[in-house]
Amino acid sequence: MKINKIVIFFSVITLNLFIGCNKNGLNSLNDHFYVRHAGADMPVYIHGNASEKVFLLFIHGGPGDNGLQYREGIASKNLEKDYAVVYYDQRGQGLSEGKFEQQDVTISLMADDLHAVILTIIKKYGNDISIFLLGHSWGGELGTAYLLKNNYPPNVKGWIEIDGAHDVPKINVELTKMIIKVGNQQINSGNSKDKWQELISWVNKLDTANINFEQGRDLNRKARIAEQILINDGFVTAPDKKTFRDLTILYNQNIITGIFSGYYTYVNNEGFYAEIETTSYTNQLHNISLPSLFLWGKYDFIVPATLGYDAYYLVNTQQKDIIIFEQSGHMPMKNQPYKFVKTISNFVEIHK
Amino acid sequence: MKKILFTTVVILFFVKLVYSQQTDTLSFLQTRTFTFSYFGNNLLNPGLKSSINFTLSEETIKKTKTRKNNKIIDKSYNNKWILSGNIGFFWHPQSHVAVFNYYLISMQKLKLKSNRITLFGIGPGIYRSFYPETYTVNKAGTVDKIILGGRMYFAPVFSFGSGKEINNYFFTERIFTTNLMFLFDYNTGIVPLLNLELAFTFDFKR
Repeated sequence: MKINKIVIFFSVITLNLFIGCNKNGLNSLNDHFYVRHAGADMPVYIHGNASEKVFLLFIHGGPGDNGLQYREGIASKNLEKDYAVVYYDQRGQGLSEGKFEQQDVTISLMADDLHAVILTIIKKYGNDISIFLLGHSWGGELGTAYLLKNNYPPNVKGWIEIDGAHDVPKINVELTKMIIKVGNQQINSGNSKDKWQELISWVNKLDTANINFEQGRDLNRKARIAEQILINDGFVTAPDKKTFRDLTILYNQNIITGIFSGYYTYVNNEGFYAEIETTSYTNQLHNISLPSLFLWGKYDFIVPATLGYDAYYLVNTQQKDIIIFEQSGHMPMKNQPYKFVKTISNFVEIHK
Repeated sequence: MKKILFTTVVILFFVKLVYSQQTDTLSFLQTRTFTFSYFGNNLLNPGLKSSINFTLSEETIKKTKTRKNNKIIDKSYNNKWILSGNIGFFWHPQSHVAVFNYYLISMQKLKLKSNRITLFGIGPGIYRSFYPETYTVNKAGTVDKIILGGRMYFAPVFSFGSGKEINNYFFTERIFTTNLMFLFDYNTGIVPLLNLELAFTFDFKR
């Protein structure tokens, strides 16, 4: 019996070692390196098919999440078949290490970090590569900040914003409107009446012109509740259950480290949150002239689709499109992964 | 690999044989015990650790307890204060390798009847991560590759363990330890690492 337990114990360890083994070759790339910039050491993971020299760079959400979260699920698995997909942990998040002060963390510095990651990928894989930026949620705000600096290299061929938070003050206003509008529609249809009434009455108490830091966080929580109600009632497609591949990716994120690191760098950093909560790029979107694709979940309460339409109309390019995912919330890559992959592939094939 | 393992076991056997026959004076090796551990960071990131342990003080306390049915139970125990130096490494397969060195003052209690051991230790340490491949980007946007990229942290450790004294020819104790290591300053704060150890102690004087 004891021998069996020991065999199982060491088998699991051996399995873990195999999971960590790298296959290298442009068709099945598994690359991992760190980028050091301004006191932060950020891990970069590149997986997939780099034979066409097209790199899709995920700018993760949060702040407080990590890059590898976006590797879970069918969407990334399918994207990796055709493209090299880059996941990186932003400073103070996931497994990124370093030493810097809380007050040094700004959106501008993090946009410079992103620039450092892009320059390193170009240095490693050559000047002839094409890079597409995919910013989700907070990553949409960071990606927009980066593009507005207008110092990106010519290798950056396109901008894909996925439910991106490029105007947080507007999010809070639109979110309250959306809860009231969708809530009333659902109540009239007889769906989860009590839950919607509770949400609407909470929202009605807010002074939407003066939403403070704490109320902003509460609103974000209510938005998640609203989306969950719609998942339960079948209006939003529930994400697939985690596969063994997802669990190994989850394990490699080292969540304990990520939670503590994120807590000190962001959650407990009121100055940085205040910057996020008050930052609005809507009036500067006309300075973006890169081919752009905006992907939004129809039922995204966290970042309502109004922001997607704003961006679509305001960016200064004719090479733009907006796709609304009818059965999705804040994570269309998990709610409707096949449509998500197809939409991105179509855009990349045109602009690569 | 098999050759290395076989050679290690043979060397340990002869070293032990030699030292167990020197009874006149206690040598350096005989006054210390050595511990070899499997070190699992966050449960499964595999690693190894070795320690050298020096007993600072030791006392045996005789104690009995009489039950209601007049049965006498032996509650005697042995208390040891141990100073240990520890060095080891672990490998996060998708990320980095870490090397650490820490010193523990531990209190170890051995129940003489059941041979059960419990211990608690605390002490300072250092930790160094090594990244697989690292590039640095300066303000001008120049990218350079650096060797041995990584970070060093002050890493105090808290250790809680339980195990058993065993009468194996090589090993005297088998202890399962939960080890909490705190890394300062990790980004802007502190990060704890939860490590599990399966340790075997080797005593040259037995």
